[in-house]
Amino acid sequence: MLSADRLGRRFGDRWVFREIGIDLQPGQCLCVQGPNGSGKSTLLKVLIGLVAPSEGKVFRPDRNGIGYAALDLSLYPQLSAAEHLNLFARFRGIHGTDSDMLAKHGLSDVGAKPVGSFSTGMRARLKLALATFHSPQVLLLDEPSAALDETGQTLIGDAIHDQLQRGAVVIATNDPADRKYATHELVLGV
Amino acid sequence: MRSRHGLFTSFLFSLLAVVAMSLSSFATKPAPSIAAGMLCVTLLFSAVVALPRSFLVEDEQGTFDLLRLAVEPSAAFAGKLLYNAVQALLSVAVLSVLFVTMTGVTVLDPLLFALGCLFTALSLAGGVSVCGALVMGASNRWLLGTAAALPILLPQVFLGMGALKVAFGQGTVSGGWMCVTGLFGWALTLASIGPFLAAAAWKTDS
Repeated sequence: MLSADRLGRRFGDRWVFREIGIDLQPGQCLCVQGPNGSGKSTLLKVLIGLVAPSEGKVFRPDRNGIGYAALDLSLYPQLSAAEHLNLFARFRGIHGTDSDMLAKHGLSDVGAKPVGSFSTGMRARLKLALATFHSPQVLLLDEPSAALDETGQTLIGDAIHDQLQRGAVVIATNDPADRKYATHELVLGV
Repeated sequence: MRSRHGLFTSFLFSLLAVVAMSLSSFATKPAPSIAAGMLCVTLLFSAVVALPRSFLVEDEQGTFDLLRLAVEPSAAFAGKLLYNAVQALLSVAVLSVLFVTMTGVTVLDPLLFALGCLFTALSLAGGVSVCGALVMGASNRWLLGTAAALPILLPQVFLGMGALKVAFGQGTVSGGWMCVTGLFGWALTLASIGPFLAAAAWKTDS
């Protein structure tokens, strides 16, 4: 489903991580932990293909098989939440999901407002909706609990449970509470 | 597309440039070669100030990653090229009419003039799109953009000037049509290789 062989990434002379091997099957959740700057976010970006590895190979599903949400992932400030979902549904060849997804993520009331006026928590909910609406095979979440209130954290928990029924999850986190989802753990920077 | 910044910038630049040119040549009709040069240079700068934004805005607002997660690089390039082509066609339609009206230059071959403007705009859209795609994500993108733009855009300017000069009454008609054919070929080449260049430049797969 998602695998990596002898994966390494360096910036200049400094290796952020090296010799990483991953083989993730449906129903499995990998929790990537480590201090700030240990390369958790970089590893997720390498796994989804946003950053090239310095060595090693990644075997992943195609674009429609991957969902990704991260704090540093930007949204289009002039588009509304509904327009984001419609646009990305069209990109992925899916129709008629926006109102259900907005309601599911508690964004129905603000669905028509431009995302530029959203709080960090509301953006995080929309990013989760964008990462999951196409039912990906692998869901990758970078610091999923950050910026979310209790309801938002319940949404994350539900999304992870749903995802584990059909595929795999990778979480990069510093929050010990997120470890409860893990079937496998990877600690970077030690 | 929601932000019409590029279109407004392009129109404002075109308007100011044409007004300045018509004032500087007040009561004097410019020679065909000078008029062709002025129109081509205005078209070039109008494209350069507006069209790269469709690529660079993704970089500036950090949405490039979100886009790359959902669509193939070649499809993203094709969409942006199409948007740039429409924007360039709107600009050239307004600019060419303004230019002819305000400078008083005589168009002796309207078909050659129309096709010269059309293919200059399309090839500029292709050229600027390719440059935008190549430099997106680069830390020194203005330097890189300039280096990439010169060899891509200069031939278009020369071909555009060649075609428009004939349309304004200087040079041989066959030479003018050769320039239009050259512009068409250049536009077609850029539109064909652009998606592959974008895919290669944005490739991060292992």
